[in-house]
Amino acid sequence: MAEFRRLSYSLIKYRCLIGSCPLFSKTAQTQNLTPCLCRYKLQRRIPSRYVHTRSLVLSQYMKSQPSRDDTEIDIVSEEEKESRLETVQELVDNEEDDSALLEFYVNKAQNEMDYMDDVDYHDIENVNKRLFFKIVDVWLKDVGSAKRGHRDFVQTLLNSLSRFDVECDISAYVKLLDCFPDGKHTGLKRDHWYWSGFADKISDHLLGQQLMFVINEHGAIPNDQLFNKTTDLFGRFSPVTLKARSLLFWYPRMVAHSPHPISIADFKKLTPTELAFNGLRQINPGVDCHYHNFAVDKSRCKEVIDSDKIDSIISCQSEKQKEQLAQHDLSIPVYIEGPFVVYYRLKKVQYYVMRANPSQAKVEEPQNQRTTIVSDKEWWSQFYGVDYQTSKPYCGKTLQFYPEEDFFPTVDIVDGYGDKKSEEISLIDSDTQSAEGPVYAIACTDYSSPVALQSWVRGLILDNPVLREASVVFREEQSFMLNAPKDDPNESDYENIDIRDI
Amino acid sequence: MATTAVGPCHSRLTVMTPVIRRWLAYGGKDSRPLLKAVATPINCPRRFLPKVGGTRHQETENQMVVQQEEVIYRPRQVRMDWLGMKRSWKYVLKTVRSMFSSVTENESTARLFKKDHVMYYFRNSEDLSYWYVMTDEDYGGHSWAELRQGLNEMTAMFRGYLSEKRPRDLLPTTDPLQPQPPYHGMVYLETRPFLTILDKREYMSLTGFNAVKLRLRGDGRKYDFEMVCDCGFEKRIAYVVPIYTRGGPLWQEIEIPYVKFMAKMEDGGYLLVRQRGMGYAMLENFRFKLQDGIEGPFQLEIDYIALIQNSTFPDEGTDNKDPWEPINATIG
Repeated sequence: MAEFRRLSYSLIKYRCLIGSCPLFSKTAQTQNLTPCLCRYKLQRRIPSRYVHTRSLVLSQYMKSQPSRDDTEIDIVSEEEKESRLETVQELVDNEEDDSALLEFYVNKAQNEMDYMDDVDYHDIENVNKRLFFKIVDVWLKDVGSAKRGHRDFVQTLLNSLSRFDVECDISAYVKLLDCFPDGKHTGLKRDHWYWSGFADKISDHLLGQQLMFVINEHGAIPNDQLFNKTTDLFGRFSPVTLKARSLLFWYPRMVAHSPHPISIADFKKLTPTELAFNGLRQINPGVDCHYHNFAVDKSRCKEVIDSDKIDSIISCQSEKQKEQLAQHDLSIPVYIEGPFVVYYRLKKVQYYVMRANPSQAKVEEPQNQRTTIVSDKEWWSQFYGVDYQTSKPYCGKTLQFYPEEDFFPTVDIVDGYGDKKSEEISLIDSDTQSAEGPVYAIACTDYSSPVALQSWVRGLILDNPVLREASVVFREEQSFMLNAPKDDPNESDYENIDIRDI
Repeated sequence: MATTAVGPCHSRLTVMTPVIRRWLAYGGKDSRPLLKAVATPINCPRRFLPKVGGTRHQETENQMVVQQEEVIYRPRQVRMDWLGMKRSWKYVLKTVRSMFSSVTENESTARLFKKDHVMYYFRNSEDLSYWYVMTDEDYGGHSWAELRQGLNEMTAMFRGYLSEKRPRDLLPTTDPLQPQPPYHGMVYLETRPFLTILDKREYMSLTGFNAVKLRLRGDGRKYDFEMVCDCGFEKRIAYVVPIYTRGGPLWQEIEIPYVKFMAKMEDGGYLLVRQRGMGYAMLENFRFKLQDGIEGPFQLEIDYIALIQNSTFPDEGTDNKDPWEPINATIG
């Protein structure tokens, strides 16, 4: 009786191998398994880190056996089966290769992608992103409700998000939270203000903190789904929820400091011309700016640039700059300086500046001197506040019938001290104007030849007829941003010699 | 000699001194050493001298020699609070001088008659000595920076190269089961502290004004403008605001109200959960920091840093104060 019991237990234990054991089938011979080794492999003491490999091996063995209950049998050649197992066996034998986990599930998800995934992930267009979500779904199905080995899986995916183009997408991080085991008896939730201080499962909470850190680093936009899921998983008194709350609180406040905010996800979708437009809007602010995209004469321009770069020349000019250019003295040339570089978010934009020299710029005469004129139409209207011809009242001190529309109302707050207050900024505010001349227009292009600048000037002549008569000179300048050295030029080489390098 | 003293002694001794009691209890001996007279200094008044009581021979039935306890008067050690007196004398001088001087010469009242106050500007090359540059080279980084006069010779130019190359002891791990250690290149420009006699620190004050005004010309990068306040016990809190520079040939003027600054610990990189108000009178230094994670050259030209009063800006704000913080910290 005892022997029968022992046999039956051994059969139950090794029921998966009944088909592959040499005593019962021939397939084990083709799989290069010796009877002594198969038993030792199962009894080998495998550390918890490699639990995934154990389940991997077992699942592979189970799959290699054709199930008689299924009506549909996948016809897979034995060569393919061997190749699959060999690759997995190599990875399992090489204990140093911890990327076996990710590679296995990547291959599995690629093999299992079918028409139903087009329905499940209809809103995701990028194939790599779909693969990411498929990998997580495949793992969840393989592992079951216990979700054993979740920490390794989540950590490997966190380190390889850029591979799937998913680092700026918050839905990917929310999906990763599904990999944590949830339930009443996991011991993960910290919901009491006192007992959470004695709680266990510290590594899970640390991993959650790492997740929040990665969200902040890659610039993903947090949402309410992230916060609600973390509270349901980790509880109200865990550092993970605190970090999620701080992300939600500070993200809009940091964004409010930038004049034209754009997320990294939208930034990556910008075309070169959109990039140039945004860069020019950043350099030349104003609601009333005129933007033009002039084509460059490619028959004359022999310079070749990449397809990612800007082929044409994009120009930006505000109303005030137009008026200044109209008053330009024709005896003096107009200079085009460049090329300069400016950063727009993560990328660089190259631009040229059209301006005049400072000493030759026109100075406006002051209008407050009224020594000779005794009476005038303007004096009459200012004195009586009424139009000379129609005797219509003006609106306040301005010589206009209707008030100017402001977006915000102006507020006149009167201090008790009145005119006694001294000013310091007005004394130093205009010092730089004497050293730098007025700017007339700014343009953006990746060409470095003057042919592109000729097409720019030709395009601006329609709105600025002064350029037809004035002489335009191109002044090439050596900008620091284009030719910056990576090593400090102020330090001498003799100071940085390390004896170990000799 | 009698060894027992039972009940009141009806003897010529009307007062039972403690010495006698002790002497009697210990069997005629006193374990305490008897205090002897102290040598008198020459020019000391008599009333400050220690009173040495002479032995009073009192006749008793048993002819005991009793020595009365010596009353000792020590000269009083008077501790003068010199530091406090110095401070108070300084305060007295200040108030007296302010009474006889005009309003603008007094620090606290001068700012009432000022529309704006320029703290730093760079019209001379000597003005650059008030600032210094620090990079991540101190902990193994590879970025460099310099501070020099601008091309106009009227501004300060802070420029260099920010590199994201990791130091040798913070290389990334090849193990996919370990998180990557965080690192970003960093470069900052800071004011030198004001030090007076014996390295005593003096602080700048923000009182009388509402906002900070900056005139600068950057390269399109995001710089952090920080004001570091001393909270005592070697604890410093930095109030930070991100400046998104436009770049280009045009100058950029920025007005930042005090209320918009965000508090964070100077050593740590995270903002404080419990935001607290700024100490207007304990400002140590200003700082321009670059740590945006983009590898490449940078250039920042600064014209001036000033304080202004703008009545449209609020004086007290709740922008950065989380209303749920006191609840999340306690009951949740």
